This record gives sequence, structure tokens and C-alpha cells, in this order.
Amino acid sequence: MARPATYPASTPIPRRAQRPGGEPAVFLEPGQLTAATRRPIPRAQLGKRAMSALWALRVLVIILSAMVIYTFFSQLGS
Amino acid sequence: VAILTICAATAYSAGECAGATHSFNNPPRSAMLFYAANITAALIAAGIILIPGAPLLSIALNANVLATVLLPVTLVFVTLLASDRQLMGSRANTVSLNMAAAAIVTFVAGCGAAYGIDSFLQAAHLIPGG
Repeated sequence: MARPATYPASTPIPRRAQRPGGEPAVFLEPGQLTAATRRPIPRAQLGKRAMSALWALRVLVIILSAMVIYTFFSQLGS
Repeated sequence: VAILTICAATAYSAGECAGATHSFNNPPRSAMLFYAANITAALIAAGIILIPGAPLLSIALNANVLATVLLPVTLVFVTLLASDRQLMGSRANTVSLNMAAAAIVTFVAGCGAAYGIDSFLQAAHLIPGG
């Protein structure tokens, strides 16, 4: 099997892949798709509510993970 | 099937985090980290289940509970990405789709939290075990 060509991140995306309804993955070769996904995008600007929700999610996940880990080790001991 | 999937997902994540090539489309020589992480994860899993007397049911159950607890994080970030107009253009989530996504994420997070808390309370003998 031929090795897929490599494309630099600056490779232009074909117009037909950019138009509404165009499915980029269909029109792009594997190397072009990889190059397209490597393009850096700016950091998302989130509002206060979204940031608060993400912090609440962090706290929830840490607390619940600690609970699950405690449960696992207590089951190991019993 | 689960071992193949989870090891591949772990290797993919490792490659993505390190910025290294991470695909089965690439030969092992050009994606060393990807293949090494894949094989290492499989070997660790095989090593754990071969420990004599290892509580496999407890390991499997708690690993799944932990996965369910961590799942909302992924779902929230996927929803944020899907709602980003700059990134998704005309395919970005509409308000109604975002509301449906929020309901699903809340339901999944609630179920995971309920299971995790219930298991914890039973393990800590705060409520009678089933």
C-alpha cells in the first residue's frame, strides 16, 4: 500500500470541502485531513456561567473519583 | 473487543497529548509512541487479570463507575465544541440541540454520581449493602 502523502499545516482546504453541506472528510485525502486538524484554533472565549459550570464539574469529578477509589480499595480489603 | 478498543483509545490520547503521530494508518516506525502506548496498556491489563486471586469483578465494576463519573467531562467538551460557530460554521448546535445535550449530560452525570455515591456509602458502612 502506498504511504499517504504528508501535507504541511498551511495546505489550503479545497473549496468544495468548505462549502455548507460539504463533508470535509469525503473530499480530503488522509494527509490533508490530518494537516487540517493540526491547524491551531484560538482559545474559546467562555462566559462566566460556562466557566462556573466547568469548575463545578471539576470539583464533582474529583470528589466522585475519590469516592470510587476509596470504594475500590475498601472492597479489596474485605 | 474492549481491550482492543480501550488500548487503542489510550494510545490515541497519548499521541494526541504528546503531539506525536497516532494512527493505525501509520507504520510502527513512524508512530512509535502510539504503538508503544497501545501494547503497554494491553500488557498492563493482561498482567492485572493474571494476578492470582485478583478481585476481577470489583476491578471491572469500579473501573466502569470511574468511567461513568469521568464521562460528563467528555460530553461537556464535545457539546462546547459542537456549539462553537467559529469551528463548526453552519453545522454548529442550535439552542434546542444544546438543551437536549444539556439534559443528556445532566442525566448521565446524575446516574454516574448516584451509583458512585451509593457504592461509597455502602463501602463506608453508612448504609446497608445490597
